[in-house]
Amino acid sequence: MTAPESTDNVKDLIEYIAKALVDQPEQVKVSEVEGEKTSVIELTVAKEDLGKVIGKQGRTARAIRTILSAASTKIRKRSVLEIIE
Amino acid sequence: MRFVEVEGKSKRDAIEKAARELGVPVEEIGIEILSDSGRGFFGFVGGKKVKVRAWSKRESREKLLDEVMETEEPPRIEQEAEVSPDPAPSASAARQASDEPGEATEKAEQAREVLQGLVGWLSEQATVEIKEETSERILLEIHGDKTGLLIGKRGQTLDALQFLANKMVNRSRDSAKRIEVDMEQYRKRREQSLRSMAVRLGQKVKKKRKPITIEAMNAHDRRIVHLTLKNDRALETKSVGKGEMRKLVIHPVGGGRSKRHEGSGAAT
Repeated sequence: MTAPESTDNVKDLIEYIAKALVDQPEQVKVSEVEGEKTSVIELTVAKEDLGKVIGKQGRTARAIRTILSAASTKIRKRSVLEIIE
Repeated sequence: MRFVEVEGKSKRDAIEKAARELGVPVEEIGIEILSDSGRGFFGFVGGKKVKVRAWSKRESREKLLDEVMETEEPPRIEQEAEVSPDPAPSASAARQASDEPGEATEKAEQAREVLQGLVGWLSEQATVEIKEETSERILLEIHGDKTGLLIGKRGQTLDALQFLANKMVNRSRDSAKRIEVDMEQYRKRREQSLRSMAVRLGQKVKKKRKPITIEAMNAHDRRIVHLTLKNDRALETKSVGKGEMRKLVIHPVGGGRSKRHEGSGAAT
């Protein structure tokens, strides 16, 4: 695993995290729906891996969102994470 | 408890002024009307004055926790960030040690890389160092700028980084090692302020003989409070509730002079 090349792309951040969490990294897909102030990051993983990115009581998803919001603060743009089921 | 006494044109006006003075939302203050020369309770009666005494209902709860964290920490973070380029001898020694081949295990190096990868999105300059490694845990330390962003409010970003690093590295249970993440000795400082808060709240409980509830703490924080007050026989600490809603209650124990015993009676 290597460090990110671009630090401005929160989409890559989500991909980096998700790929390390799941059993089938090749099935990880991240897309970004950009808005003026807010962009929505949509994360899709293999059905069997959903639990891995959500975690017990949503703890993993919450941790990812916390880091996403910190990263968004840095680039001054709000982003929200949607995990697509 | 801190009281303020304010006068306003109406009761509502007085309450709003009191809330501003206390720095809490209107819904979270308790009031007592000292003098009310107006007739209607909520009417804006011209020329009349209403005097109220107000206090913050939240004071003994999460507000206090926030105050402890917010007043005691951020300034020090800035100061320490300034001196960090020249760290304590132990830190540089550890850094040298981790550069030597064979010192850090593959697992620790993997953990360091994963965390470095995460941290890179939050700060270009921040670097991750393997500070310590034992058979059951790996302590990683983040160095660099953007301390506030990386630690987050009440350490929530640091906790999230730690949580994810654990999940990302320890995918197979058999070789799992607990990963701890720290920056600018945040963990130690947080522990110290939690301890002093625990002692302070404990004294308050003993004095008022009423239990106090502290919310918004994670298991690790609660543990520190439990341990701090463990040896005080006049106090008992308990955690109630489930999951995210779990909170810690400090109860007074025994003691004859209690006038309001109903609160502490329910605890035992």
